[in-house]
Amino acid sequence: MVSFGIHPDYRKVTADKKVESAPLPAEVIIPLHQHIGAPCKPTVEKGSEVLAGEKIGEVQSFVAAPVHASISGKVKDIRRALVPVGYEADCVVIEGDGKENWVKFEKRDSEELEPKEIINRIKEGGLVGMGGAAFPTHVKLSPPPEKKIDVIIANGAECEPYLTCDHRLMIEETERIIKGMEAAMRVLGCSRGLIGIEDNKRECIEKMEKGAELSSFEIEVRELRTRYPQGAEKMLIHSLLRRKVPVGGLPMDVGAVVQNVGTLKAIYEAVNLGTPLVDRVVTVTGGVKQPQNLMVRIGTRIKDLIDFCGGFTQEPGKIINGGPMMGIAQESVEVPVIKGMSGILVQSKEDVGKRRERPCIRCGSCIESCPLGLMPTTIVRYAKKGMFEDCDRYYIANCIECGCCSWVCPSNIPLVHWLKYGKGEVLKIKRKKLEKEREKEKGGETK
Amino acid sequence: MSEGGDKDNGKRQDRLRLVISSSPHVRKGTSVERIMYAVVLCLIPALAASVYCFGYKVLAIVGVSVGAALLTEFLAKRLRKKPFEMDGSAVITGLILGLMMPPGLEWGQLWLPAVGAFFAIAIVKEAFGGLGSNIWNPAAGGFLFCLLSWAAMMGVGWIADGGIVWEMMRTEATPLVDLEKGEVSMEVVKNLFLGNVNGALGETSALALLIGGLALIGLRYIDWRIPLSFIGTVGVLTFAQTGDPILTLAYLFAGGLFLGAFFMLTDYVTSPLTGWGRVLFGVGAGAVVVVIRLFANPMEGVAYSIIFMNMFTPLIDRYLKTEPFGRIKKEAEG
Ligand code: SF4
Ligand code: SF4
Repeated sequence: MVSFGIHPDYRKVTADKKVESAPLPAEVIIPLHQHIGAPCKPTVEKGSEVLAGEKIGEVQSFVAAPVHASISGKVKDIRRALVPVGYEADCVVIEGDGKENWVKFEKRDSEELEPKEIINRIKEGGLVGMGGAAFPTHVKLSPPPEKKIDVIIANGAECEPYLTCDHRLMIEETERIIKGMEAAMRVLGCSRGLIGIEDNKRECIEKMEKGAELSSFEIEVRELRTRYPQGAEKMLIHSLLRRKVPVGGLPMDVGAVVQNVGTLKAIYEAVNLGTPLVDRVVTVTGGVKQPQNLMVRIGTRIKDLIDFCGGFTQEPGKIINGGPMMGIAQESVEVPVIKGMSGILVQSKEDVGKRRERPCIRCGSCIESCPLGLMPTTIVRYAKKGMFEDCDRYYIANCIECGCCSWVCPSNIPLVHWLKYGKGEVLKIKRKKLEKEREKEKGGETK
Repeated sequence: MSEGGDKDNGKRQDRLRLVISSSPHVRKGTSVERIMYAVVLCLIPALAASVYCFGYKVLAIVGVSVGAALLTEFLAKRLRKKPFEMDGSAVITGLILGLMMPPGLEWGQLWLPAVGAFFAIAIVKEAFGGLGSNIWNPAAGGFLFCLLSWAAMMGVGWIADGGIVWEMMRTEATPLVDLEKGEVSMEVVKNLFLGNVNGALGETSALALLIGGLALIGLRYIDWRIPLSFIGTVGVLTFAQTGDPILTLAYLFAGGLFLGAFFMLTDYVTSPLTGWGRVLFGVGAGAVVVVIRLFANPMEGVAYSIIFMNMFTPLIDRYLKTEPFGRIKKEAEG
């Protein structure tokens, strides 16, 4: 039994609430950069008429995912706007015509498709990891040939408190998830599929087990101990396979690929139905009158969703994109829903409270809680002093920003804030070093 | 809510005042205060046992010590222009120091715990930067200061009136001095454990200290590794040296070993950060105690061992780090 992480207060109040469709938004703001990688280039202009499902942003590099119109209507503007990950990005604003005019989708059966074609349909569908990281799915499914993948893992852990979108999908869209998993297995040529679900989601486990039985593929559901961050890729792989992703490595280094269950459902839809990623389930929860799971068009303003849920119960203190452990605090409710947004959490002024920072009392709780075996207090001490080489020596790059350390700290030290900062600085230094080395090499050649 | 203010540029037009801060957005809800006052609570059994044994004067001694510690902290913070907080750490220092005082202290000698507490807080703690930055355990430092400066008062005069047990035991010398002579019976061991003996105030009842210590371990406020490795080391080494199980038990229950094990060595600030570091720390302190008890005056062995090992904490932290997830694998591959 490996012990790691923490037991936060789960508060999954929306776990039994069926996914409901949010009303069609009158206007959507669709960022051209919703993934990890280079932003897309718009393929429409101000004034263009677009159909729902039409591509409006094309990729400019391999690590990127195209974006599509989520409603039909007219392009009102292409401008910079705040996106819910804390910066401004170019966005296509579409004014809806109130109709559901869709482009024609080409249906196919994934079993008749070649792996190449499957990948292509996933790529064209603009799929990204829907658990929050938003890494382009086709890239994850195209490991270099020397990396043999023998198992694909469906991530149904959903260890973040409050969030229940994956929970609902596993119950309501079991078949699509399994089908999507099969398609991914065919692409990777791996024979084994594992579905990891935390043991506090009984109904999901039963449903998914039934679904897995019907599959002709070797897919198995595994119960995971409920523990945060069980759903972090490295933790999940270790819990299921007892394999450790090496420091600085990726899941494929140990022969595994992890896909969130929501992404798998989207894979099925992109591959079999031909529909691009234009909507997703978002858990709207916390300080709203009716917390629920909503099927939402990408680009819908979160304000519209909060209103649809009956508005705030009291004056909000914080609005978070995602869950309370890793989510990003928002400065405005005008930001749009993006592909990687799994929840909108509203916290009251009291929830936010005032937490005064104290000096570190060296209690060691942060070290004990860190699932990656790091020493947060030591790293942060160096980061505060600007000693980034020392941060690197203490493996700062391995930090997954899960937040366990900050969560336990009795002195309220914003460890994650400093860790993020330190990570960025360490990266900068490393890049500079690389550049210098390259220059040196070049210099040597010309001499 | 009206849809009026739509012509924004994604900027804030809404009148909401939202807090922006780094994740996580929830906390466990522990605090320095909570931990410190839990430690204080867990010292209450020892304090109660002490009052039972030695009478109400104990409260005066401990009270003076705690009061002096708080006052010193307040003044030190003033001087350093830092906010004074009732975070409980000074209370612990005062309490422990008070419990290390001899029961025979007379009313006229109450300045001794006060001076000790002043030294502990002003010199050992605040001069090094306050809570979190001090190198030595303040209570142990304060105790040794008193011992070295006023040995006579700290060592002798084991006479007090009041407490029932005390009346019975007043003719005995302190048990560790008995142990030196090697005459120990199971009776002495039992007395040591329950507290029917004399010694410093809080050292008398190993049982009371054990109750508080186990409670702290149960609450996960202290790491079991330190008391276990410390007491274990003292036990093994003593047994190896004497070959007498009863004598070994007597050694374990005497001389403030439990007070040091559960409440002083486990002080976060002055002990190592990682699990193995803490084991090494406990083992080291245990060895020091045994050596001191063999060759020198027994009673202050624990305090010396704490101060001695505190100095090694930074070194231990430098070399005994945690194992980062996935490290072995990479090195094996590379
Ligand atoms: S150091 Fe990083 S990985 Fe470890 S607990 Fe903190 S945030 Fe999580
Ligand atoms: S949890 Fe906070 S107080 Fe404790 S060692 Fe880590 S940083 Fe210091």
